[in-house]
Amino acid sequence: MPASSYMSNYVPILIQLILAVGLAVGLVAISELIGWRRRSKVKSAAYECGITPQGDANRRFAVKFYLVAIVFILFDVEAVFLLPWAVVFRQLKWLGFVEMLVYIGIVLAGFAYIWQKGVFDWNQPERAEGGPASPIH
Amino acid sequence: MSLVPAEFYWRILPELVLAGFGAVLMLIEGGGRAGNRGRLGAYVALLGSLLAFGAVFIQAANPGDAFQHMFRVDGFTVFFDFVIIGATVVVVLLSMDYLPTQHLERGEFYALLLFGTVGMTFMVGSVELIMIFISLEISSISTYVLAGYRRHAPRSTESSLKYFLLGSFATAFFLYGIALVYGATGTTQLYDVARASLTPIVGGGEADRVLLLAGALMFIGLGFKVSAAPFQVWTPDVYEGAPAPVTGFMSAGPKAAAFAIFLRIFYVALHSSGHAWFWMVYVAAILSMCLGNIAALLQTNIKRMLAYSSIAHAGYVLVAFAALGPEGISAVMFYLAAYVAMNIGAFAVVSHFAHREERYVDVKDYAGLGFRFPVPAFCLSLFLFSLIGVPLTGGFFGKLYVFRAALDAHLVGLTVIAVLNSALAAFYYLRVVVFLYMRQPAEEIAAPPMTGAFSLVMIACVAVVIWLGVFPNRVLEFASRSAAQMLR
Repeated sequence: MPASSYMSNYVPILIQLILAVGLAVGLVAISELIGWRRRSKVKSAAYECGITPQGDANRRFAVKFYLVAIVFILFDVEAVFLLPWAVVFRQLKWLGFVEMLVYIGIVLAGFAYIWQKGVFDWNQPERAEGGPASPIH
Repeated sequence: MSLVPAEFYWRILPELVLAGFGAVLMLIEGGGRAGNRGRLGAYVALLGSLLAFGAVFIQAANPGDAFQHMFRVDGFTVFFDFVIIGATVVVVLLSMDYLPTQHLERGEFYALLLFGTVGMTFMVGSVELIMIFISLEISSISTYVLAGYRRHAPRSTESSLKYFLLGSFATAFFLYGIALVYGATGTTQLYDVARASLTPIVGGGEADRVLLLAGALMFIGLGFKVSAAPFQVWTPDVYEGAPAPVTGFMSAGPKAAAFAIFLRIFYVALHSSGHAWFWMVYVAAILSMCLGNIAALLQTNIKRMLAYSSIAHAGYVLVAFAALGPEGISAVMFYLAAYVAMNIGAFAVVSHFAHREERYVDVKDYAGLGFRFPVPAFCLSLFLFSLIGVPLTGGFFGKLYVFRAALDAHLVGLTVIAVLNSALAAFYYLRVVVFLYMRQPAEEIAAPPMTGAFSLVMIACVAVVIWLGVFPNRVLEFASRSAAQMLR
């Protein structure tokens, strides 16, 4: 039976899975069962280099952080396309070179746009509502 | 032979022009701090969209495949390119009025319009599922942002967020459908899929079942984009919150493009399982017509009413879709051309009267406008009559061809439901006309000036609606020829 012999290839993986899960669950369970614990104030405090949390985690962040993160991801992904191009650069000859120039030109146009919009200008003071028109709100 | 022959570029010339002008707009908008950038942007966008419209003629003169058979220029592509880019030209003109009134004039608005149009035109020309998916995303992402363009208005933000969340969800369905098509046939090129589905690589009817599941998933994704019931829930909220010209744009361009790929995918790639997916279309058509028209009866906000009416119109288009033949395709094409003209026209008048912060968008605000502003009110009435399907308007022949295609395919029950629905729809369209001409105004709404741009919009839309209503033959013949070409 070809089907069963095919699936039997996966038996070692199944054994490994059982061992890994069993070990993790078993160790925690054993220490939970036979270990003894005394609760004290010192023990529940942040340990060594930990910092005691202040305030609520649901704070509002300046939109600049998101902008920079998005811009980073965009340019990161766009740079990925340069790698396959570099591999077949010789076969593509001039056509590939020109097409890649166009592509980089488009990316650069986007870069010029966000630069002029002041995405990288972190010194810009927060504006009051109704102030002069400015790129980032 | 070189890798990319020159005619490939001629075939995507409209898209190249639009993308180039979009990039220029971004650079203009970013540069300097001068006050008139928005105005300059509007003129650049107008020039760009007009040139792209002209470029469609060059595209049409170079029919054939391009880029490893991922893109195809045939009559079908050319027809929808004219419709979509024409809609963009009109929306740019309309925004030249609307944006300064709302203090929103920025170059990005026009850049997003042009980029969205790039996506839509690529959509209608693509014959490969990955390309279709990418262009669908380009068009969707632009419209998500445009919907939230009045970002100080909570409704606009709500509209954008709802559209984005539900839209990405629908896109995920579509993408999963593509994956299954590839799994069943080993290709994503629509015409290859059609061939492969006749000689399946997986035996025992497996491929058929997988393809049908793929069709169902893609139906969900595209049904959302064309706002067909039961995937229509987002439509009223999004249409109400988005800026009025954008609503006009959304109800025209993306919808026409989505119907175009709907046709290509289902009529070409999934042709072999037509008997099975026919019932999905059938049920969706009945639901869209009935839900859209009944809900529209209850609306007092004009934008919401037109949103429900657009759901109903998606239903009429699906009636022709269910005809499963070349007559169905040409009826869909003709109907969409007429629908785009009359719907953008109606939204143009709505955005003309909307005033700052879109204050006047209720039916009651339209009381007595027929005598105070005779020209826009007359045009609005004409568009509404066309939406009803009164003779001498494009809407009449649109409905006629849809019903004829359905009857030729022996779908008598469906046709009866469609006819009853159009009678029902007349009620809520006529109510607006009654308010325009037969009611006394409760509040004097501020007089919007008739600018040159708005006059051009009215002339263009009225001309197309009347032209399609009086001389439909040329357009219909072109549509029939393209339909035959598409099915090949």
